[in-house]
Amino acid sequence: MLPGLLLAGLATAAAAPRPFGLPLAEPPGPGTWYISQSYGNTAYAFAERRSLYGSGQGLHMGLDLATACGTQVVAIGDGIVLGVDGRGGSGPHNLMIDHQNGFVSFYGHLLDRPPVAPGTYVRRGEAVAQSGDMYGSCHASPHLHLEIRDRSLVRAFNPVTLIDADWHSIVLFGAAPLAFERDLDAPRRWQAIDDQPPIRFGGAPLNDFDHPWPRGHP
Amino acid sequence: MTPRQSVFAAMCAGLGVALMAFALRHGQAAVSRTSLEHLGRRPAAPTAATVAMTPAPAWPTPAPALRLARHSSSAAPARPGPTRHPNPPPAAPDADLVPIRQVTFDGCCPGAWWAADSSALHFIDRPNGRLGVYGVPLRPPGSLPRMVDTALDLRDGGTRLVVHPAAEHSVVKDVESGLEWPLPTGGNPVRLAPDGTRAVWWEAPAGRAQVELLGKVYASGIDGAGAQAIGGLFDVDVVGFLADNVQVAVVGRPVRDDPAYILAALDTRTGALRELARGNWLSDVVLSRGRAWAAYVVSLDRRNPDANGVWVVPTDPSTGGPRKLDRFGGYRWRDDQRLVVVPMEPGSASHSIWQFDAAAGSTTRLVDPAAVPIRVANNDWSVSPDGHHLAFVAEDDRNIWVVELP
Repeated sequence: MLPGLLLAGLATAAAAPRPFGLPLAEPPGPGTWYISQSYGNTAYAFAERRSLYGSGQGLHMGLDLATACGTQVVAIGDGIVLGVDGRGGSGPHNLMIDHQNGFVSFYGHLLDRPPVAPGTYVRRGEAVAQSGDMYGSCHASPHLHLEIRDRSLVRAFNPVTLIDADWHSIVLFGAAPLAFERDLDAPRRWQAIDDQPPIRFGGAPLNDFDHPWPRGHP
Repeated sequence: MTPRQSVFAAMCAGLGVALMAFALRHGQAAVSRTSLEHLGRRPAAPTAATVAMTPAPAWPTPAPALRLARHSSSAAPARPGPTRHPNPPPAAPDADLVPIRQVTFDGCCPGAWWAADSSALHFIDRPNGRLGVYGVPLRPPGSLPRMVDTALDLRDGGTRLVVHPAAEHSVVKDVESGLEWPLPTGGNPVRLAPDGTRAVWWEAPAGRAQVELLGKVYASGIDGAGAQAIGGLFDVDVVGFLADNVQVAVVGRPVRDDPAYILAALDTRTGALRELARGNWLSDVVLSRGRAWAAYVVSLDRRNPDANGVWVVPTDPSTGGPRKLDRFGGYRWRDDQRLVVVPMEPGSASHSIWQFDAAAGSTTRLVDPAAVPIRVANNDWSVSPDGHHLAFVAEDDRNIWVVELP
């Protein structure tokens, strides 16, 4: 696709109401799933900005949904399976779906190799995989990592702005608010789950702040 | 990120600042994993060159305070969140008038925290390039924010000691005398006893090591004397000192490859460990203001689904055992016994405010969403130290609003 057409497609999709659904069929809650890390300028990403998240401009490239191993993962929209266990990391298994609207969804840390072949057409809400654990055990870090990228796979977007869900209710969990790293030069910026910048993989860090708060690791 | 790492992330920034301040004010009683990390990695104050004391900047003119009458059909001229709940639930019997008002404007500000005397809300901001901690008094209504601190030290009373992180030896500073001394923490997170007599720190490796390596807990006198390992758990976290300033509340796994965590009281002198509660992915522990109770979450237990939810447990096990709340959501302690809950109810037009009495085991609705249709952004809300008010960032305008709690 030509860059201009790609951008036009993205603009069209972005202008529409949030075009996607949640990647887990069950409603959120302590027994099903909850957000364990937001997309973007999280405090955890800041601490890992030069290591785990270095390739994503220092930001968390997706949305982490804590859920028990074996939880059914569903397609966030209609589309064609683009890749199974392809590049993109987030092992032990992953899945990509091209939604034909300029966006590709990426599901990481899956339990097993997804039972869908590349080229298969899937419908929104259709079971496509089972969630797993990034460390291969189901007792270390069980969660689904969800990314939404453009078709070039070079840019990632905040899933919260593209998935139709009541996010500010979903994050009502536990004793503390969502936490984002603060840039004291712009302390209000990127402090909400729905106010996070897009990511260009391989680009310069976005959160290597001169005056971070809290400072974390230098 | 593990479910428990999410707690770390949740408190390392944003309102973690508020919680850190709260911890400092209240002897760390209400801090969980991340705020402790937070204290351990406390950034140095910005230099005078970057943060100069200035007079209060110009702010938008505030709107008058609002007082919404329950059951009144007259909508307030301005209010956070969506319109009135389409199907209002039955009215609570104990709230005739529920006042709510906006206290900041222009989308200001995330991560606010309360002054120790509950008289004002504080937040970090940089209006007109003037970085600092700003405070907006609750009274008189319509007060404008003013810069209250340029050091971002976030010490609003209470303990006089703060900890600054360092690679090998964290530095404890008495902010009143200016005295500083090292603690042999190895760069690990630290907690100080509210009475200033003891220090405790623990190994907190990142990544897979967090759940695979036994994390030891160390304790010493406040001057570092007598430092020794007193125990350890996998993925250990020290929540805070209990009321005796000797025991600390700790969370961790007794068994490496098992997601069952315990909440326990660990004696910093003897190393004796008393289990208070146990649960799958037990997390989000917060101590009540007097440290008599702890609230926590049990999650993702597929074999025992009834265990999932918010629980409270007395920190003195002789007084009782864990109790589960009948609602799940965000929670903050109002005092030493009452826990305020904003339930997770996706799709609801308004968020509601409930209270759980830990001793009585009873639940009361504090604010009728039909009368006060609030929508909280980012779970960014807090209860004033005196328990009279709840402040929150509104979803629609991202300003801070305050609700008077009945």
